[in-house]
Amino acid sequence: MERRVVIGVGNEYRRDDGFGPRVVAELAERRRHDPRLAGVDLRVSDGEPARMLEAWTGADVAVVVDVARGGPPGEWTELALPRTAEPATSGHGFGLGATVALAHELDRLPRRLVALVAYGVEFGFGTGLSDVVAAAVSPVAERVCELGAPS
Amino acid sequence: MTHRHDRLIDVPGLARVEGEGAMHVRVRDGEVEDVRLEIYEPPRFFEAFLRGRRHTEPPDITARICGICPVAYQMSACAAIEDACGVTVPPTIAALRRLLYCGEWIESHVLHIYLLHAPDFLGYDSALDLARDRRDLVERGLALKKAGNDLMEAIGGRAIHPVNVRVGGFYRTPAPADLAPLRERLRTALDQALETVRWVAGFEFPPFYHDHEMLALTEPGRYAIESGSIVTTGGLEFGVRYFERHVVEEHVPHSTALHAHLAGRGRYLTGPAARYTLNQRWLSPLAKEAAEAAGLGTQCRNPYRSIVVRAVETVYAVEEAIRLIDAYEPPPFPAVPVPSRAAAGYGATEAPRGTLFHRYELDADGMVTSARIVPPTAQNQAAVEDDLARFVAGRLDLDDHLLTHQCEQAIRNYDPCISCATHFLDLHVERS
Repeated sequence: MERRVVIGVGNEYRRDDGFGPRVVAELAERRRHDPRLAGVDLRVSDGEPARMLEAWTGADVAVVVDVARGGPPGEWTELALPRTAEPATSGHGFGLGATVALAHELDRLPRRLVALVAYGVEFGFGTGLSDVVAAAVSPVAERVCELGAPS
Repeated sequence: MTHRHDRLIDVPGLARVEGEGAMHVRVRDGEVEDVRLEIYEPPRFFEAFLRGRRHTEPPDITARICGICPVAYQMSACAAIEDACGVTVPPTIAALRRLLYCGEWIESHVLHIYLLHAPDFLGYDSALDLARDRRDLVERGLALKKAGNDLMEAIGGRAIHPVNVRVGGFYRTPAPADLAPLRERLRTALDQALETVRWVAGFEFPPFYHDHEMLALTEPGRYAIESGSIVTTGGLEFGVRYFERHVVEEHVPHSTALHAHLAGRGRYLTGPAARYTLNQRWLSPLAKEAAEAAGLGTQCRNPYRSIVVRAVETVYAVEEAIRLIDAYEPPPFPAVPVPSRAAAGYGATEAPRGTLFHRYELDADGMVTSARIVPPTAQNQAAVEDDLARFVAGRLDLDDHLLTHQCEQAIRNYDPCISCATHFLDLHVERS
């Protein structure tokens, strides 16, 4: 049986940074009636590299849901994750690209690794997504369902 | 090499620290004029956020301050709330809390040793480069870290932001059979932890020392983690409830962060080196033996050697976890009642990075009317700045790139958990 994992990365107390965990919460709700999510391992992470590796090691499909700056707020994109290191300036000194590169060195990449990244606008202290980012939760969750469906 | 007397170095990001912040060094006429470590303090945000919440909520809310040390926040919050309510948890619950805390120490220390700090000593830019050359070492680190993760998941419900902790104890407690597989993994982890001490003891440590007063919890008979009273190397001894009498926080012009100092005494340092220096006699015989073989002596005043202390504390945490599992008796109830009352309560525990203090005031309805959180990284700011000023003064002949790189390494010695306090760490060395 395929092992499928969805990892929502972020901090729900930093507004739009809580996008990943929010999508995972939505998926947990959907799983009760959506057979495409049966058996899918739903996780929330702060992006710490060792935990990310542990979460996706041995998975056939891993979907990382995260938020980024620098794009049109509320829009989202699907990325095949790069295997090269990026400048290590993220929250725990390791960007997602560097984590992927480390996984590559250690033969810990899942068979298929996809990132769904929404562009946030508000990263201050506090709970609750901005309206534009909240609007992306449902379509991203739907895309996760498509990606997570058994092949 | 530069021959300028006035310099400005600006580095856009300091890598391999927990979280983000800003660092400025100003050199004028060949003299270090100013060193500022800027962090913006989410604990201040959380303190406001906690007001008006029920007395049962701080452990869950404050756990979100940091993904690396959520247990520390939960344990200090529980200790403070239970103190306010006049409740002491039974020894069986206290032991389970200590076991959970061991998991966090293992996880946090091993992350820092292998992925963040060791590359500095071995000439690698990152753990990724280390993994390319020495995959076996990184694999060992990840395996050892997983032992901590497993403890966190088994007792806390999950490895990040554990959900099983509550005021008065836990929502559910594990059966002894749930912990038995962990014990076997911890036996292997103990060997890996001892190998880690031997490995890091062989690193080359720059001869750099400090004379800061050091502060830690202490508890006669065992290495203090989740309880104890406070002592300093300068001879201060006081109960946790008197923390604010002895530790004064003040605003400094250059930062939104508060700087802590000991009243009438000045800067101080908390964290693994302080714990070791004040409490090494309470380490287990095996951890003591490992420390001695690693050449640590009775105190640690070279910040570069903090990596060895973390490795020794990892040995202790693994061994202590095994001991606690062997002695484990499920509590008759997962939690004891904690009825609220109008009172103030104080709690402090040893987070991986140092003493973490919480205070809460509750009203008669059990609502939080005020909260105070003093994380270790904020306490260490003044001492780190002092170290950096001396560090830079002795290295002004270095070019900006190398000087900045070495400053980053010096900051990493303290494993600053700036994610407890900020969201980006820029390093600026200004020579003007």
